[in-house]
Amino acid sequence: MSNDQSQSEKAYGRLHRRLFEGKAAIFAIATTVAISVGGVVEIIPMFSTSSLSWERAGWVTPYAPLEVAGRDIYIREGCYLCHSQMVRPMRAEMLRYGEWTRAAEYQYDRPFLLGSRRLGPDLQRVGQKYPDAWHYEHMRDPRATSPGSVMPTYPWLHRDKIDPADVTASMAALAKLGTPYTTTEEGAVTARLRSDGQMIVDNLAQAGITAAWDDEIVALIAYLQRLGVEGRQHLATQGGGQ
Amino acid sequence: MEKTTTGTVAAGTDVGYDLDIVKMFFTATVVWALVGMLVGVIIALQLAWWPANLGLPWTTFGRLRPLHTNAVIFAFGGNVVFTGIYHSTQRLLRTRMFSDTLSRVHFWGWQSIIVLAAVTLPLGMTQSKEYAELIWPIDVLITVVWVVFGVNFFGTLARRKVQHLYVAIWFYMSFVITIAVLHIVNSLAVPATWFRSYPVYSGLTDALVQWWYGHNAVGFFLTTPFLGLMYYYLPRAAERPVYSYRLSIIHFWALVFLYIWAGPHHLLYSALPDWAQTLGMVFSVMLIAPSWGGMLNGLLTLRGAWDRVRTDPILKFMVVAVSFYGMSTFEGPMMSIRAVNGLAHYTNWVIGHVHSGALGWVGMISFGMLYWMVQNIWKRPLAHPTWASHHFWLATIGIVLYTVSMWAAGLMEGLQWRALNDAGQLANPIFVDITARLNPFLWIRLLGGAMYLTGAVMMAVNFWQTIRGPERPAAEPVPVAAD
Amino acid sequence: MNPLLREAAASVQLGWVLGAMTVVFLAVFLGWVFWAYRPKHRAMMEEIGRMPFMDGGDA
Repeated sequence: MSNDQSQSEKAYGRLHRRLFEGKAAIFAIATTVAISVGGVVEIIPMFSTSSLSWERAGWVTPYAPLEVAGRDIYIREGCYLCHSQMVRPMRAEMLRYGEWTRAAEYQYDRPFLLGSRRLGPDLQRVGQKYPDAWHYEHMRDPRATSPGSVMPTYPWLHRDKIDPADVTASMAALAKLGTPYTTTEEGAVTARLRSDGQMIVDNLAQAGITAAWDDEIVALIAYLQRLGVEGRQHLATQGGGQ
Repeated sequence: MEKTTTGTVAAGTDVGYDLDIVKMFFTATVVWALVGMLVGVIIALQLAWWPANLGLPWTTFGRLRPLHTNAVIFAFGGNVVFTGIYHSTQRLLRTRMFSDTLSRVHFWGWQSIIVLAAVTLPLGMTQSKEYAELIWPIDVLITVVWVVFGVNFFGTLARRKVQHLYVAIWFYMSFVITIAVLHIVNSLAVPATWFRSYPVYSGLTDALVQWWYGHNAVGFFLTTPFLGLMYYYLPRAAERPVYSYRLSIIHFWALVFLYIWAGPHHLLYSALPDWAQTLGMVFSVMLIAPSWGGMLNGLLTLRGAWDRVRTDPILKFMVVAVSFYGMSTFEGPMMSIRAVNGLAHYTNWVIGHVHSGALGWVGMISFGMLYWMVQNIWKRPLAHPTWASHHFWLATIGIVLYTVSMWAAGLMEGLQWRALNDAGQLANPIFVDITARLNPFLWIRLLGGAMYLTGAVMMAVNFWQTIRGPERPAAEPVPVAAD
Repeated sequence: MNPLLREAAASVQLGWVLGAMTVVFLAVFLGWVFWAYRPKHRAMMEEIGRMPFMDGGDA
C-alpha cells in the first residue's frame, strides 16, 4: 500500500468515524425495535393480572412427586415428538378424545407439552382410559396392546429406577417458580413417591405383573394416568361447553 | 486512490482479509451437513420400520429427532451462515474481521456447542422445547459464544472502510440481534440439577413464548441470513448486480417487522386467546408480500442469464433454492389460515412444508454458495465438475419425492382423523390404523432423503479432492463448471 | 401497580392501540418506500447494488 493511499485511508477513517459509525448503531436499534413490536404486543398481555386468570383454575392440582418424575421421563424419551397434548374444539377430536383442552389444564405445565405432531394419538385425556397394566405392556411391546403400532419399545423403563433426591430437586425448582407444594423436603417427597408408587404396584400385581415403586415405568404410568382427568371431571359437572 | 462511498478497491489490492476463518467454517459446514442429514435418514427409517430404533435408549426416535433438527439447523445451517458472513462481510466492508481471536473463539465455541449437543441429546438431556432442546449450561455457553460473535461482527462494522452498508449486511445484522433476543427470552429457566431446568413460563404462555421463538428461529436463523447470502452470492455467481436494490431494502424492513408476529399460527385451535391466534394468522398471510419480494428479486437477477443457468450447476442450485423459497413461503401462510390449519396441523404435511424450506431453500442456496466458494477461496477448479450436476439432480428429485409423499400422507391422515360415517361416528376409530396406512409414503420419503444425502456425500468428496488438487494458474479466470 | 395507572390501562382498548400502531407503522413504511424510490436516489441505489463487485475481483 502506498504512502498516499494510507494517508487518504486515515483521513477517510476519521471522517467515516465522525459521520457514519452512528449509522450502524441507529440501524441496529431500528432493527431491534422492528423485531420487538410483534413479540411485545402478543406476549406481554399474557402476564397482566387480568389476563392470567384465563389460565388459572382451582380445579387443577399440581403434579404429585411421582407424576413429576413420570413427566420428566416423558420429556427425556421425547414422547411429545409423536404424541400431542391438545384436544382441539372439533367434532371429530371430541368424539375421539373427549372434551377440548382448556387453558387452565396446562397451568402447572413447565415446560408445556402440546406437541407438534401426531404419529400416535393425542394423550391430553388419556388418564384412566386404560388400566395400569395396559401401559406397562404398551411400553414393553407397543404391538402387544396396539397391533400395527410404529412406536419403539422402551425396555429400560422396566429396569431403571427413579432417584428420590433427583425428584426432590425438581420439586424444589418447581416450587421456586410458584407451584404450590406444601413440602419439598426429601424425606416427605420420598414417602409420597413410595406410597403413590405402591398403589400402582398393587394394581399391576392384580394383573400378574411384578414391579417396584421406584421403577421408572411406574412413575410414567402415574403421570399418564392423571392426564386430563381433573378437567374431564370438572367439565362433566359443568355440563360441557364453556 | 480514490475512495467512493461504496469503496471500490483496485484489482490486486491486498486488503488483508482473514481467509483462514472462512475455510474453517467451510470445512465444519460440510462435515456437519453429512452428520445432520445422516441422522435425518436414520430417523426416517425408524418411522417406516420401527425395529430400526434398536431397543436402546440412545437410539430411539424420541432422542435422535432433536439431534437431527439441532444438527441440520445449528450445525449445518449455523456453520454455513458463518462461512458466508465471515467471507462476504469482510469484502463488503473492505476490512479484516475486528479480531482474529474472537473469530476463533466463535468458531471453536460453536463447534463445542454442537459436540455437547450430540452427546447430551442421545442421553435424553433435553428441555423439550423444539429447536431449543439443549440443557441450560449449554444455553449459557450459546449466549457467551453469541456475544463473542456479536462483538466481532459489530466491531467489524465499526471499522469498515466504506460508507454504505450493502443489504446483505442488514440481513446479517438482523440475524445477530434477533437470535440473541429469541434465545435469551425463550431459555429463561430455573435449574433443578446440572442437567435439568424448568421454564419460568407455564402452560400456554410457555407455548406462546416457545413458538414465538420457534417460528422466528425459522425466520431469523433459516431465512434472513440466507437471504443475505443470496444477495451477495447470487449476484457474484451470476456476475450481475441484484435486479432491484430498492426492492431489497424495502422487503427487508417488511420482512423483519412482520415475521415476529406470526408465531401463534403454531397454536391455532388451542385455548390461547382468540385475538392472539388471529394476529398470528393475519400476519402470516401478510408475510407472503415481503417473502415474494425477495424471491422475485432473486429470480429476476438472472434475467438475461438463463442460458448460463442451464449449464452452470451453481446457478441451478440457486434458482431452485429461490423457487423453493417462494413455494414454501406461499404454502406456510396458506397453512396458517385457520380452516387449512385444522386439517394440516399435527400431520406429515407440516413435515413436508418444513423440508421444502429446509432442503429446498436453505440446503440448495448453501450448496450453490459452497460450490462457488470452494473454487474461489482455494483457487482451484472443481475436481469433478459433472458431479456437481449429478448432485443437483439427486437433491432436486429427492426434495420432490420428500415433499410430495409428505403432502399426500398429511392430507390422508388429516382427512381420516376427522372422517365421520353416516351415523355421525368416527369412520376410523382406531388411530393406529391410520398411521399404519402412511407406511408406503414414509418409505418414499426415506428414498427422497437418502437421495439428498447421497448428493451431499458426492459434494463432500468433490470438495475434498478439489482442495487437495493443484491450484489454478493465476491467469486463468474463475471457471464456470460445465456439465 | 398504581390504581390510576391500572384504570388508565384498563380504559385503553386493544383495538385502538392496534389501529394506531397500524397507521403509524404503515406511514413509516410508505415513507421508506417513497424515499427508496425517489428518482434522485436512483444512481446511488444502483451503485450500492454493485458493491459485491467492488472488492478488486479477489474472491
